[in-house]
Amino acid sequence: MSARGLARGVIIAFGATYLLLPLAGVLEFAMRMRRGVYSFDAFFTVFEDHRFGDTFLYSTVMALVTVLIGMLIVLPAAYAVRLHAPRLRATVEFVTLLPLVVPAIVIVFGYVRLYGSDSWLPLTDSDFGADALLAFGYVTLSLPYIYRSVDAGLSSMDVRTLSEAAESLGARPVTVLLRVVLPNIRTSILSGAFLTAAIVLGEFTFASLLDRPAFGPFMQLLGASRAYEPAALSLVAFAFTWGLMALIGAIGGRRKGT
Amino acid sequence: MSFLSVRGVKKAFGPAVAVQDFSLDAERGEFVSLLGPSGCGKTTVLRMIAGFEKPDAGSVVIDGEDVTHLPTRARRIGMVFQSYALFPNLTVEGNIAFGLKVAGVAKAEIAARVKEMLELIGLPKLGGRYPVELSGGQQQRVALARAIAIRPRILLLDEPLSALDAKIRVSLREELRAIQRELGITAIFVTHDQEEALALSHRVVVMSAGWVEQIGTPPEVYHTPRTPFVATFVGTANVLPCRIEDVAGRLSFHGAPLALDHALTGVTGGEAMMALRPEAIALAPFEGATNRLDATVRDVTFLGPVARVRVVLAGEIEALVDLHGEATRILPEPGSASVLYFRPESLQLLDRRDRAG
Amino acid sequence: MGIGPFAVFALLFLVLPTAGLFIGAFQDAEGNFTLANIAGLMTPIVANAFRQSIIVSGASAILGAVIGLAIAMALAGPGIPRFIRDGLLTLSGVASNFAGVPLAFAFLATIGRLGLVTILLRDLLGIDIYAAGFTILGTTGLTLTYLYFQLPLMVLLIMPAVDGLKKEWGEASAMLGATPWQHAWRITAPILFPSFAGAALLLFANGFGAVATAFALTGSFINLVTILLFAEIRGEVLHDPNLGYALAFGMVAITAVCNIVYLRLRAFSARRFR
Repeated sequence: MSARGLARGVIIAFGATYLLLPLAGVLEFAMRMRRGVYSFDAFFTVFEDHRFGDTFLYSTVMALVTVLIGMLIVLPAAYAVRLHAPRLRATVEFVTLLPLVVPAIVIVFGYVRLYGSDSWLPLTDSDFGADALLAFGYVTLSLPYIYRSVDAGLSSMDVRTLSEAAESLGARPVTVLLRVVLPNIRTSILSGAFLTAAIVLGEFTFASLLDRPAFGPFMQLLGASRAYEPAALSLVAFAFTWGLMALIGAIGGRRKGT
Repeated sequence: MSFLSVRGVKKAFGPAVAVQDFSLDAERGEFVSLLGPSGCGKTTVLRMIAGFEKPDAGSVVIDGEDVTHLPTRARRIGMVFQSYALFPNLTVEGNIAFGLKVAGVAKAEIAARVKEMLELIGLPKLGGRYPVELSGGQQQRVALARAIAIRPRILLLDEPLSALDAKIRVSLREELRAIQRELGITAIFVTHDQEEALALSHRVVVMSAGWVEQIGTPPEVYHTPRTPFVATFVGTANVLPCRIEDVAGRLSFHGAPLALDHALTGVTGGEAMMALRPEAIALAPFEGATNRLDATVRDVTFLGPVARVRVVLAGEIEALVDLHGEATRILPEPGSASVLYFRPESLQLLDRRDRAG
Repeated sequence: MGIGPFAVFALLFLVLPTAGLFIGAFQDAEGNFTLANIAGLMTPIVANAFRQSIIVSGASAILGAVIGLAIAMALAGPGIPRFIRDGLLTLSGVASNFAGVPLAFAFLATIGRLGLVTILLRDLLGIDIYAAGFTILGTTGLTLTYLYFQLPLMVLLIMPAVDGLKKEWGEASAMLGATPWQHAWRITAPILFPSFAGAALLLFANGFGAVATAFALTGSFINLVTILLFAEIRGEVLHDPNLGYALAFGMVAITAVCNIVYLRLRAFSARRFR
């Protein structure tokens, strides 16, 4: 092997080790729960904790709601921008990129101030209001990803011609959106949805500061009070992230194939 | 001794043999084309001359110097790539000056040389542009200027015109030939386009499946193809089976006697293949057309200056006949019986080298 | 029109909340204009938090950018089996999204006081990193943890630019007489630099805004801007809400500059290098 080939191998091995070693470490740590032998006790303890199920369910529902609201807001906007208002495109794109620029903690700070107890619209005072605010916050966080995936889907088809064809057959704009556009960008929407789910499921800052019973704060709480269970939880979270990324990859791969 | 001498070069990539056995001698100032379909090994030969690939066997000698084991940067060659390969971070001037700069040439001299090159390629005002701001044709001219700015011993051209529009391709082709002749630089040109090869070259090397099929001047390669491959790849030809009757050059096609214009040496008889260009055939007698074959017209396609007639010969063998000029005024009826007339010198006996295996 | 809901949403849940903070950053408790809050960013606890944040995100961004570029360059081109390249890129996609609380756990279990690597180093090589002064709760520990998502993010960000380097450029350089070093210095480096610098800035902003990893790892042990702001939102540690707004404004000012320069560099690369 050439010196250059050897150097490439060493660098790649270093990168792979850096990304895999913590997983090995956390697995080994999680299995140390029973003194003297390796066991999966920590995993069972975590799964048996009712708060695990409760918070995970809460975050899953939150992820679904986020995707739903996000699509309801972004899809008509992206469609309209392409079809009727191309001049607004740059502005819409800019707005969707803002959540990447403004850190999440700043956005939630703004929420607490604008929708807190003594504000004009005290959303945080009721559970439903706080849930709604969290969902809106998550929609905001995932705007860049949802918009990008929808826009990529729309750009892969000739929106204008398809819409005109449908309208010439007597379809109303809403029908066009639901029956023509949506089915054609299904795969893009799915990949955006999975990415959103990956972000929302373990999100900590928003949920913690809005005091919601979500999975992220639960993990943090467990980490502050237990030793081995958080390690098990960490692996579960990694597995979920991996699964969602794999789904996105599978969708992307299939789309390329067709 | 010739200026460029490639001897017995071979190259395999794993189990795939790209170049079986290649030899070529080119004179100083000669323009030689390597012509063949994709995968015939022509680009690999060029890359071995450039030093990008190491030959498994054989040698490359430039101007008396054996460069077989020399790295590319020490070979003093200029190369033009199909994809232009201009450095996108440098201006036109920066690209042309690059080779001189890394060689440590003085600034004033570089500036003068760059100016001279810009004049040569006819883009004196575009020195400050970046490659993305140029058209494909302009980029390829700059690539040519960059390659010859360093006064290379040999200019290597790897399908330099293939990525261009048809119109620019022809005009740049003319320009390329003019510049090469003016500088008197030895050029090796790789192409799959027979028209380019014929138009530009002093000599053409026709390649197929890693082998050299034939080396010759453009008229030689066109008029006296030696193998079925050359006959059909360079232009269009009817390749027909025949029998060699005697050494005097008498042949037969399904019993019909035919004659070559020369005697044969070393062949005594047996089955062979012969080539006959469609445009060398007429459907009416003409002077010197002593060879004739009976045929039935299958169909006729009128293309303006040419009418292409598909006929069926004895043994259900198809052949093409091109009618030109006045002969296209009255076209034969499909299904009608006809006679093909052609001269002995139009008939070319082919080598039965079979390399498909 | 279709843009209506989007516009209302963006206004209510993105623009107004953020803009409100920025306005608050320039107001006193009575709502009068003042620069006192911005000046307040210079108070030791706040200035220190900014310094810490810049050090941690800066170090993790620079390390991540350099190593990430090296990995991307090692992965590019022929000679690396397909499954290794695809495998590492997939792993990078997952790891760059694997931040926050579970990442902190993973690093605690690896280089924490009882972590796998800590113990292996001690038992096998006799190196006790904690005796040597290392702590995962410190700047180095936090930087190494951040590197877990910064490094793969860099690989993903720079990979297209590295893949875009054409083999023919190297061949053209060689043909023109340049050594590999001359080619690297005069051609490769200038072509990659805008993408590299832009990605490094994005990494910096990414690390700068991170909350959960640091919080789960250290609690309030380490004084980062985000940790300070987190505490401020919860319990107003600064005893001055307007100073909190200034803090948020300061953060966004930094991340905004990083992002703007990043976008500029990316546009430049896209235009000139396609």
